[in-house]
Parts: sequence; structure tokens; C-alpha cells
Amino acid sequence: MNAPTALISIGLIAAGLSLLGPRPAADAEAATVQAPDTYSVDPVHSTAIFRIKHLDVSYFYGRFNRPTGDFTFDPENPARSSFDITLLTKNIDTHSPKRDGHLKSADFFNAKQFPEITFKSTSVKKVRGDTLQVIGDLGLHGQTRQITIDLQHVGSRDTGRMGQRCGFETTFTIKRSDFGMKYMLNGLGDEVTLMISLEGSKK
Amino acid sequence: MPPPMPPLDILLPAVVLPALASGLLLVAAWRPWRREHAGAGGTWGGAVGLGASILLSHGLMQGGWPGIVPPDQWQWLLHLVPVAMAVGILDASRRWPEALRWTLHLSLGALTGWLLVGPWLGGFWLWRIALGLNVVVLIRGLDAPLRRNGGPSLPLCLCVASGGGSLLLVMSFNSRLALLGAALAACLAVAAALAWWRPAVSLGGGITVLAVALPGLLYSGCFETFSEIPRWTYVLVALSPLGVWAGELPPFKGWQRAMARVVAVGVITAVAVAVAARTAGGNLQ
Repeated sequence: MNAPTALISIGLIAAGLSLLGPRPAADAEAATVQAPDTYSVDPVHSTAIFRIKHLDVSYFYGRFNRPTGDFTFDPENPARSSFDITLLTKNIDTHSPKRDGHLKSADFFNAKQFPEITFKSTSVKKVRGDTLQVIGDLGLHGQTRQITIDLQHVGSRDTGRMGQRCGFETTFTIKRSDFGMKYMLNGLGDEVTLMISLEGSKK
Repeated sequence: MPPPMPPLDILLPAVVLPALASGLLLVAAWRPWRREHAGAGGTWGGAVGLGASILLSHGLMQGGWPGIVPPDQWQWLLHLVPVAMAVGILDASRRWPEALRWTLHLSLGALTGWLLVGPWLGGFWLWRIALGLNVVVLIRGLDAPLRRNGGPSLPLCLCVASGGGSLLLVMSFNSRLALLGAALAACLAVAAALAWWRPAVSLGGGITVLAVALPGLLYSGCFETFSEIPRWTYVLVALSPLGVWAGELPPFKGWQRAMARVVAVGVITAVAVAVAARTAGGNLQ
């Protein structure tokens, strides 16, 4: 075999091996395709309502206006989903400005020192149908506690003018005393139920 | 429209019981039944009584105690009060060199400003300095009137200032701080009654506790409110005890001096509370 023939043979063998071996570029492309969609919470179409017992005789409802944050959702592999939601304590609204002022004061939320209520998920798994079990850290009144919530996937679709949208809803109960909010526990219940509905627009 | 009175189930643990307990401490310290020697040696009574009124009020109201590092910035006051009690007792126990007293007072002012004003507050360094100076000015400014004059006028003036501060805090939606201020005012009312009975008794180191607690409550309320009440009204009430210097003016003697003190502190406090009431439009429901 002369030299030119040998070089051509080596080149052909190398080309053949490259066709049989792994293709890193193509794999990366596949991974990009499968990345979960990221959504930013639409504050206008999202709602955060709370419920608390008043004087042990009735339930009182209030809300935190304009929830914000981001979430990612992978319907094929929910474990790759994540949620990072923020409520501003100054946005509390109980349809009474004076009561709002009291709730924002140092007696309750201390909204100047602790301006945010945050929830950051640490793990997500599908439990049944369209319901996810989300474990995460709830930050309230300067203290962080791990909580577990059931989060229902309400729907996802391309809405046309408003783009790709995705929505979730959850209801869960916390004890405010666990977060150092112990004032007037005899008049206002310790347990607070939060009902949160999120609508996200795809980034 | 004045703010409504809190219900008895709140006033009883937060104000009435602490005032009774701290009043008993004052009686135990001053022993006013001893006609000749009432108040002699009881210089610790004022510091212990006033400090206890605030600590008991918080303890009974909350049913517990915040941790070593409390979650709310204002709750550092509950650590500062025992420190002020210790400094007050030390200060009143004997005549210390002035340099040492100044050092103690400046340190207490700096500590109060540092702990009660968090970095989350806009312009926090200025407020730290303002609060620290407020504490030092009160301790030093009330020192001479305390030593020169006996009788009920000084505790009565301080009761008026604390009561006015409590009203201001109610209007700024800080009812918990307001109740602590009310407990302080109630204890001072007991002290005034005892001093009226036996003019020789003295608040002594209690001045140090008041100098930390009153501005501490008012500045905290000022920082942590969303009400529109002007900030200067809180500062004015926090400085209002200095109105006792009106009694030192030349034309006043004897009972006129006591009257001038009470009227001056009352007017300063009333101006601040009236402005706050007008701004707040009558609060708390």
C-alpha cells in the first residue's frame, strides 16, 4: 500500500467510526428541546386570599394584592418544575385602610422590616392526576419554615394574544405563631388558611 | 374622635397587673410607711419598678419571651431595659466620677440606637444617632431636676409624657407598643402617688430606664408604622420630659415650680398628640 492510499484508508476508517460514535452536539440540542417552560406570575390575574378566625365565631377574609414571582413547569417530568412566589406585606387588603395599617404594623406583619412573604420550592412530585406535591420554604415575618402543599395544575394553553399561559391553585394552612406572630391570639385565630391562584405567562 | 379604650381582657394583663406588681416593688424599695426615713436607701426602687412594668407587661401580654436574637427589631428593647436597670441602679447607688457616668450614659445611648434601628430603615445611621442622643439627653437632662427636687411633680411629668406617648402609638396602629407605654405610665402614676405621700422618695435610677424605654417605644413605633403621623411628633414626645426645666426658671418657687413642670411637659405632649390625632383622624377600630 503506497502512502496516498494509506492516508485515504485511514480517513475513511475515521469517518466511519465518527458515524458510529456518540454525537455530543445532537444530544445537547435534544436537552434544550426538553427544558421546562418558565413562566412569570401575572399579578393582575393571580390571587392570594387568606382566611382567619375572628373572636372564635366567624371567618374573616383578606387578600394580598399583586402576587409576583416565577415558576417552571414540566408536565412530562414534574420533578423538574419549580416555584418561586412572593407576596408583598404592604399589599395586604382587608377593605379597611385602618385595619390594613394595623396589620402592617409591628403588631402583626411588621411590613417595614419584613416586606416580603416568600415561597421557594425545594422539591416537586406528581401525586395524582393534575396534582403536584410541592415541598418548599415559606418565609414570613423574618422566619423560614418548610411546608408541604398540594398544588393543582388548572390548565395550560396558548391563548393567542396573551401568549402561552399556565395556571395553578393551592389551599394550605399555617400557624402564624410558628412564624413569631403571636399578638392577639385570643381574638384572632392562630391558624391562617391561604388560597393562592397563580396564572403565569411564558417568558 | 379619640381612639376607643382597649377591652379589659387586654388592659388587665398588659397594664393593670404590671402596674400593681411594679407598684409593690416601689413600695418594697421605698418603704413609705417609715415617716422619718421613707425612701432612704431605696434608690434601686425606681429602676427595678419601671423596668419591671415593661418586662411584665410584655411577658403577660405575649405569654412568652422573644429569643436571644428577637425577630422584630423593636423587641431588642426587652433586652435593653434590663441593661438600663443595671446602669440605673449602678448610677444611683453612689456618686461615681462624672467621666465614668458619661461613659456609661453614652454607651447606653449608642447601644440603644444600634439595636433598635435596623439597617432596613432608610437613613438608619442618622436615626441611630438621633435615638442615641435622645437617650443621653434625657438621662443627663433629668439628672439635675431629679437631685434638686423631691415630691410628685417629676414622676407625674414622666407619667404624662409616657401616657401621651402611649396615645400616639395607639394612633399609629402600634397597639402592642402603646400598651407597654401605658404600663410605664401606670407605674409612674403609682410612683407619683407614693412621692406625694412621702416627698423624700426618689425615682433614682428609674430615670435611666425611662430614658431608654420612652424614646425606644416611640422611635420604634415611628419606624414601623404606615400611618401618616409626622415623625417629628414622636421625637417631640420622646424629648418632652425635658419640659421639667420650666420649673427651674427664676419666677417659680415652691408649688409654682412643680406646677410649671407639669404644665410644660403636658403642653409639649398635648401639642404632639393633637397633631397626631388630627393627622390620623382618630384611629384603631
